[in-house]
Amino acid sequence: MGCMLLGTAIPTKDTLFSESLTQVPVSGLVVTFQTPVDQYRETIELLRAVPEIETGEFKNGKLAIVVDSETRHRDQEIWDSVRQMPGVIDLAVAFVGFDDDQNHTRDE
Amino acid sequence: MDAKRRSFLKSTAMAAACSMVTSEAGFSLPVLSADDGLPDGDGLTWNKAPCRFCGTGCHVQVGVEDGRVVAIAGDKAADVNKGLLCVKGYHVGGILYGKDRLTKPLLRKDGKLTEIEWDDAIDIVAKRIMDAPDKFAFYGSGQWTIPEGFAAQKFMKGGLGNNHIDPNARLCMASAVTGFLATYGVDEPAGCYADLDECDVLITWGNNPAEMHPVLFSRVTDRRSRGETVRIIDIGTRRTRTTDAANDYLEMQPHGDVAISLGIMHLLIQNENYDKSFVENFCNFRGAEADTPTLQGEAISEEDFRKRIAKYTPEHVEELSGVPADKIRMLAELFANREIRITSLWCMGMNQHTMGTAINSLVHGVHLLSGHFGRPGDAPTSLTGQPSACGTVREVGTLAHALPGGRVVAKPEHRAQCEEMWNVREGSINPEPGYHTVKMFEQFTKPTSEGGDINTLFVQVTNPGQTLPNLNALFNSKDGLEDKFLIVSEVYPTATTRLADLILPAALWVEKNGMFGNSERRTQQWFKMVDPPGEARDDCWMTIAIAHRLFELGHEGMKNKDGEFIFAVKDENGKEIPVWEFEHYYDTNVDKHLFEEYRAFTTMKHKNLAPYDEYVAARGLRWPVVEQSDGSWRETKFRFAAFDDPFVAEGQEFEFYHSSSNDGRAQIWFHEYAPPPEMPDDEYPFWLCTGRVLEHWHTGTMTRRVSQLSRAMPTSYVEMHAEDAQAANIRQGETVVIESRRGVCELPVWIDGRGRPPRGTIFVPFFDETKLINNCTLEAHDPFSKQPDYKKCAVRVVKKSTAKANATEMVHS
Repeated sequence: MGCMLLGTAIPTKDTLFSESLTQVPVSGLVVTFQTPVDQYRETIELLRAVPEIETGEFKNGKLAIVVDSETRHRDQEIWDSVRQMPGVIDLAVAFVGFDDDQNHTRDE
Repeated sequence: MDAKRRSFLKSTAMAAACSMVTSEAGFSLPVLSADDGLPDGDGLTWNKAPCRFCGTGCHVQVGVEDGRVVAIAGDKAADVNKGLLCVKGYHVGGILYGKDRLTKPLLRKDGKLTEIEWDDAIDIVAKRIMDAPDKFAFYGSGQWTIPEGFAAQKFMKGGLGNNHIDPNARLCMASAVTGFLATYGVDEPAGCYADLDECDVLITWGNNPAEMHPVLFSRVTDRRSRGETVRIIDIGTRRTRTTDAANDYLEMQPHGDVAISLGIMHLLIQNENYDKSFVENFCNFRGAEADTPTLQGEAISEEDFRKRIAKYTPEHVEELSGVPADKIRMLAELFANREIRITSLWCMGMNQHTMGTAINSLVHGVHLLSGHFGRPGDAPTSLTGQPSACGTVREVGTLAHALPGGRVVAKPEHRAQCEEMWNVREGSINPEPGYHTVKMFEQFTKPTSEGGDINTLFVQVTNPGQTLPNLNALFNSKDGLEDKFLIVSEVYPTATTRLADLILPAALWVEKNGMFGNSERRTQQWFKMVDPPGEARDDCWMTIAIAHRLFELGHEGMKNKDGEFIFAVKDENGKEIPVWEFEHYYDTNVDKHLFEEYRAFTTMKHKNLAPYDEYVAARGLRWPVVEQSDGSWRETKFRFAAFDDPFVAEGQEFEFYHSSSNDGRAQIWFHEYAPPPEMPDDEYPFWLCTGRVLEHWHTGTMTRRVSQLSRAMPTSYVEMHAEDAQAANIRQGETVVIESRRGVCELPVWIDGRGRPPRGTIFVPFFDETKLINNCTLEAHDPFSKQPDYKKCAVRVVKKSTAKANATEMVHS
């Protein structure tokens, strides 16, 4: 059995995004309401009042939002608070994109 | 921060979220919807295929233009996913087009990989086998297509008389197999995905379907958005995205599941609210033999069962599992209520377990004892992680002890049946089971002089250099192995090809014909749509070509009783088609020939399959598939229940027609709780749990080459509780060293990340080949399934600076 490395382009931390766990993701989320969204205008207003949240389309009890926060701690806070808002029964992730620099660690 | 890039990420995130919201198909999380309409024309054509990734078995429509896959859409005609896909499935087309595809056979000469011709490569393999056929082993996969697995199986067991063939599914679902066999006498779930549409309560046992089987989980969460009430109870060792959607989270200690299931059964018995009628009519009680436990166990009376289970009071279970006694009572009360329907789901958490067979059997037992079985929505259901773990491994029987059609090598009558069906000489099949995965690699990595009796190992469609436990013992290079020869068929360079002596470039997914079998007994078919790159070729062809070279060399096992090649394929005029020559491989449909041969085996254990052409027309069919009087073929959703299973005897409500007690009954098992084989102590104070993430599939060989998925989850990490991190002065993102008694792995820390382990536990995904967490894991395995436990071993977490200082100190001392 040999032991030489095959010198081809296996993705590594250098060829992929570098160590990005210190960074905060931009996430696309879907908020699911117990009943149609129209009955939860107050909750949607609450969501819109959060500066890091951008709201998108809503249909059939589901609302698309994007969260772009500056710290992981804040990201977690937003996640937790959205889950506890009136009428919210589920919070799902459609997409997570990580930032690629180191300026989001100030809460550590 | 690059604002432009962040803006791009935000718009992508919004598009993904909106596509989920506006989808018409009824699922929610986390899926992307199919495009409306799939226009043909302008050179773009569409055809169906099952997704290449997990065991869910979603169908996709594959758009091909100019010989290249250019588009993927969910298949709206597919019952499994109704047009929707998870984020991996949406990007499945991209797996074909990584820049570093392997395109030429490569032979290691003087330590350097050198391009050689296919003819020479086949020659090398055949001669090594010819020289020592009993020292050859074949390591395959739940990603083998059904025909690939069947060909490998016939080549080894029917041709070489060598049972050293085992699949990587040994590492992921072997305990599910033994659990089903111990309980019902036959493998694979009785229910199907429709249970998820009907259940009132869903219990996830050490399972995270929100990330691992997201389309299935969406079937449940979406019911809530339609106003239905579905209670989700998550029993786990760490909080996950499934926990986020759960009504109840019961955090258990490792092996707590065994205690919890015993506790539920104890209460059902004590309170006399189990389903007496169901048990009396359809069940027996079973316990392990005192001296030499077997998978069959021994019959015990109900009274004996009561005595044995009496000590598992809620309070005792709380001590063992960490789950509060009142929660155990809550679970028991739910199971005592037959007005509701309960589905249990599990996957690796219960299978990668040194009590894997026991916990699988116990959860089946909870459902049987309570009568939550056999009605739509009432089902104990295990999920698989690979697309054909069921089809190729469990049904074709590519495990070291098995034969196709539920036969086993140890039984003379089974061997005789298979020899007859393969038309090979009597006595061709070896009666001794071959080496299971861990043993196979032990024997390969042990020097020949020390008894390592496997000297040539052929790996197809899997990556053991990353997935085996305790890699330092079972895979990583060692001295004294110069006479050993590792052959790897792969599509990309991997942790396994790094050590290969011969690399064979393989075709992938829709670059070849194929068939898979998913987690709900659904057999699926697809056709080749594009050519593989360079000289990459089908795995099935490789097996046939090697077999034919052995035939030419005079290996008697490669001839059938009539003296013909065992894989001979003839045209309509009876003339043999030289399918062992790649230029002629697609002169016929080899998959169809192999499948029709295999199909004859499937009736032996009531897993009947339809003719190949029925699968061409369908988006999969769930076996048993039985021909009707009008010539149509009917699939079966619910096994053992008279209302749907055609094999249940007339007049019976339920019949377990492969019962190990030969009386049509299922077995309710008792097993004593036992602690994990390695537990945290002063030296190694943390539990290590390993697993997967949404964005990557298993070892990341394919998904890490899809830029969207790589960007979403670029590197592995260690999840750690904030208080543990604080106590050790470890900061968010800091690289630490995970150390076990077997090896080390460096990882960045993610505190309170996507998954939230409790204090004293860390979690590491295994997708990243630059951070091999299996250097640390333990190869201890279940005594029956031989499946290792990747979910619990003892480690310590060391700051990198401390680890370096320790290493320096050791050098100086």
